[in-house]
Amino acid sequence: MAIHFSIERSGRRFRARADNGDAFFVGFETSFAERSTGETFEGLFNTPTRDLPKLIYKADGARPSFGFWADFIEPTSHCEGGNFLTLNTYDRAKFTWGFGQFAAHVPDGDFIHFFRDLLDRPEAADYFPNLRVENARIVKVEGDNLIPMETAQSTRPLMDFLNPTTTAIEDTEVIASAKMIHWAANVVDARNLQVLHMVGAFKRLMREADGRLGLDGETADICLVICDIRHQGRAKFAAMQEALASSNPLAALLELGAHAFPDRIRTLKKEVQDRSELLGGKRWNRSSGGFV
Amino acid sequence: MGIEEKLLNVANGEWTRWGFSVIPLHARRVIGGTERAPPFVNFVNDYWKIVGNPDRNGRSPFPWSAAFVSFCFKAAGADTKFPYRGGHFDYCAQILKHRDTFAALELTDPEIAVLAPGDLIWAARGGRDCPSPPTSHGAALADLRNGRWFCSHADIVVAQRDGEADVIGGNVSDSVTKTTYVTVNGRIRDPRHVWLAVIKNSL
Repeated sequence: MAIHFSIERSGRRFRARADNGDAFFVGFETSFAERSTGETFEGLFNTPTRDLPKLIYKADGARPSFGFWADFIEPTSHCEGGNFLTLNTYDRAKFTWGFGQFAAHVPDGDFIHFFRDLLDRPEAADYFPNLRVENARIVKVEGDNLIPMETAQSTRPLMDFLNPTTTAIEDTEVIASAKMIHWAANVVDARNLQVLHMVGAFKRLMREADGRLGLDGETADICLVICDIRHQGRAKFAAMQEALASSNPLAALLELGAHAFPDRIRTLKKEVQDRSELLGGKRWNRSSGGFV
Repeated sequence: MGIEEKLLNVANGEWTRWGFSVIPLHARRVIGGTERAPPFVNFVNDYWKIVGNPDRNGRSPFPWSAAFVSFCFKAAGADTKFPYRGGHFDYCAQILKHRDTFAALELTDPEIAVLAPGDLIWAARGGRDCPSPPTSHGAALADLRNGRWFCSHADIVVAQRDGEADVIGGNVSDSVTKTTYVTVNGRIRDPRHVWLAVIKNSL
């Protein structure tokens, strides 16, 4: 039975109720100007705020399932805010979700893979009753018709479904955000699914980076910073290659993007430092596709 | 001598026949044959015959994953010791109701049960016209006892490694597909589904 969501607005603050239950925080209105294009975006964000429940990703909880990978993704999760309920709808991705900040604009990307699996869970009927996965693609059900929401080339219909425009905050956008927050807050495995996909994303990033940079035998701290750079997209392989060839590769990698993203780099440095013993003791092993 | 080895051979043989469809953990899925295309459309007919629906095939509008499970147990020689049905709910209800007849099959709590090759893992699923499914083992057993039907799916466990289990199931991405799931200490812990039971198989 589909859950009914209603919206409440107070100034810049949006809240929602599920089936007339207690109001819960969804996000604040914000605007953002992209420096490179001059475009202005309007949307929601919800971290860091005190209004959001503190559902923070912790490696301890995921280690039984994913071993060292649970630790490997933790620094980046902290750089992204760490909260399973993290949301932003104010940039060109239109909808970015979770502690791994999976973005909806990438065809066959992290968000799409995650959302397909989420829609395969039975609670999907409560949250998105008109969406389902058909032939491994997300579709919208309209009567007898199945409308494709994503292809190998585009996710535009799904982005528009979740967030119709980036020039205003629409009810549709707030409701979609409220549904994701309510689902993740109330169903443990909706959160565990984020972990599964974050680990999967980092395994893929590691394989790709190894293919381009030759990382076999490299320590996990260096690999982690490379994965974080790739996850955020703040530097290209050529710059990372140059950093790896320097006398202090870890320090050089941590310098990439330091001017544009000083807060993130500061957090990442601290996270890596705090785990120096663990990360320094593990090395990437190409043949097994893991750290040994 | 049990039927486990034969059951695994049958399941793996069907998986091979369908072109090695896989849904790996953390890698791209690759689907071989699909239900509507020849010759696979008729492979589905082989499964339906086992549960008394010889007119159905891969183009019939019915989920065929339970028919696939029934086919595998029949071909493995389970004889009268498996309740062959076209729905997972239905054979699970039979196992629960006729414990003496199906004594070698037991619906166990997936929170506790350690998987072994030859077991079935049973999960809730949603879908068009599906009522809200149970979200726990206890609730699933209560629904089986009360005849409160819901949509579900089950796969046959074919391999178990540290932290992972491989299962083979029918009507998974329209194929017979090997899927890899996350396990912890041999117990199913994959968040992609709501797990209702491990059907321990000592046939």
